[in-house]
Amino acid sequence: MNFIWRNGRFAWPFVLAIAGVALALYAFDLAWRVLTLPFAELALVFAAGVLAVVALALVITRWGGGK
Amino acid sequence: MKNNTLALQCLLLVLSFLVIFLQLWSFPYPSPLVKPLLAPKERWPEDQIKAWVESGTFDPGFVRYFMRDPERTVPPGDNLVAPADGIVKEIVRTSDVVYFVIGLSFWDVHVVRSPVAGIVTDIEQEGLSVFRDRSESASLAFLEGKAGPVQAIVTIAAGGHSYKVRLITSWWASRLKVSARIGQEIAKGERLGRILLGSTVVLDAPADTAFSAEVGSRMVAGESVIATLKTERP
Repeated sequence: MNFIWRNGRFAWPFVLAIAGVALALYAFDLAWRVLTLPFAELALVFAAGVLAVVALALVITRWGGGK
Repeated sequence: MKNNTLALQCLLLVLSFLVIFLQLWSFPYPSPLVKPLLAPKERWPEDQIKAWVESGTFDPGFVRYFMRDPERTVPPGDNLVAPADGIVKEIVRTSDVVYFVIGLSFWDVHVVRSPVAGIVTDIEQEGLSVFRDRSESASLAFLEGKAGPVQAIVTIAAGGHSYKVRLITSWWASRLKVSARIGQEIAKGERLGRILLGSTVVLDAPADTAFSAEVGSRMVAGESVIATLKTERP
């Protein structure tokens, strides 16, 4: 719960992770149409990017909680 | 301060979820957020257009794009110009006539124009098929693979020769609109009609017509010169 809500407001890593997912979906859609790369390859790249964003958010949360 | 931060976070989350929803809702087709940035062929993919044809309901944006009718600059001189936008699919020669076949994609302008200045002497447009003689369909290779081809044939007399412009579509599209009238004096490049969705325009020209356009080249109706007419010496 600490990851989502903290001190009477949303945790910024959670907010930024959701915004990151939205941005990644948009960027993926645009890249897929414009670059005409194979869907599977592009999906893997963006999935990795999204996972990296979420992992970073979790690390920042734990690092912020450990202080 | 805390309330402002919370409000900002709520706004960001609402916008983000809205983006995620719009992206997933329109998958596998382009989302409304991405469409404005795409070229027509990517903005309205072929699969999506085919689905619209099946359902009979089209995206208004695509309809506006499809129905465009730009003005064209007709080149001067004794020549034939392309009757339609699209790609030259084949040039088929027989002993009597040569067929110049142009394939139209969903994203091409579908207004058909006269390739030559002359007089409209005949217009054939009879329901689902004008193949009174089935042998004609058997000999016209460009009609193979068409499910129940529908065509309108506009015959134009010019310079002692007869030219036919065939507007061809398939039965499931089945929408041809000929604006020319029999007896009408028509200018080179002038509008003849419109195909209201896909597929082929064929020009029947005299057998000795020497086409300068090549198979695979892109045509612009009313502008692309496809052959030079031989002028008879007095």
